[in-house]
Amino acid sequence: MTGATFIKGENLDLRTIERDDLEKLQEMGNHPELRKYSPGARPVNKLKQEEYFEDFLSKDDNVFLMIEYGEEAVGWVNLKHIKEDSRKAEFGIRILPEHQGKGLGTEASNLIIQYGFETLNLHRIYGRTFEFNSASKALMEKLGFKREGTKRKAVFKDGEYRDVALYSLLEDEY
Amino acid sequence: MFIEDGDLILRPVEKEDLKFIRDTRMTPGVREEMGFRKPANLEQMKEGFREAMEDEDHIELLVVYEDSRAGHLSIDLDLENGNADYGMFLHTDLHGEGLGTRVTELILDYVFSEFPVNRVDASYRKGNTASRKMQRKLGFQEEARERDFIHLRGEYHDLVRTSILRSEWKE
Repeated sequence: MTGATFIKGENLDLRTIERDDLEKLQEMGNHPELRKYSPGARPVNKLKQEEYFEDFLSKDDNVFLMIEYGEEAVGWVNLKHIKEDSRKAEFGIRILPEHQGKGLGTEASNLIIQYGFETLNLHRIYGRTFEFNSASKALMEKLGFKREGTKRKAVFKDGEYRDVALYSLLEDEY
Repeated sequence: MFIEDGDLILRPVEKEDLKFIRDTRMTPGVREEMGFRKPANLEQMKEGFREAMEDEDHIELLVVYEDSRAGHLSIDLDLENGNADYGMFLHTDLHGEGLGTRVTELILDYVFSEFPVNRVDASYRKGNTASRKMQRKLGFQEEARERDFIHLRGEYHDLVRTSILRSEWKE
């Protein structure tokens, strides 16, 4: 296995993301199915992926962990833009389509949320997703996130400006 | 992989692809048609590649057909004006198979789907029947003919400017 196990789960582990994962990350970023639900619209080549890995993924105010399931990296989960003064961070997750629907997203999310509140001492974890992404909205609701608003027609996707749904989970609701 | 349609794949351009792009661009016959007058070696290609990567509004993709490198395309976004300039080339072995039409169709879907642009611009040299046919078939409108715009093989040629608007592209 690439990387070090950071959090052990029942069916999956969350591990550090290493340079050896660049190809996998690139595959996930460019994946036509995953791109349908992601605001990123541009192709990412190896050099761009490397830049992103060095300048963003490996920075202290972002925690990105690979989801390792059955000896395979099947996606990643993250708490990014961690702000220590206001004790908040943004939650995000990607899972390759062939591994969706197995409950991996719920388990990986619960692990990183617990870590966020208990180890990083966060007060608020927030998430956002396209209004049309019902799977992602369902996941956040299942995790206990509360809908707190809508960014109206905020991002151009699939031929028009789309609403973005805003969610958050507070320390005392968790 | 970035965009897939069966045996046709459009993916990000990697450093390892530069040799293919150089070889295709430098091919006598293709080179003149594409406006490359001077030789470009790998060093120059690499420098251009790095520079292009810094430009967010410049998008390049490699065309892969039946698992082999087949061509290259670029899209230059002008988001303030809501338009995009499109250019593409295929390896000569693959000309005349309708591959260009398939690639361009995928790109028009991609651009109109992912970016708030109202029009996509293209052009062809008057006399380049393959490009003219392909663009007409997809609904590009001819909107200008720049007279004696290109100097090629000792003669001046007209350049035909074309475009397709979002409202003209299929739903």
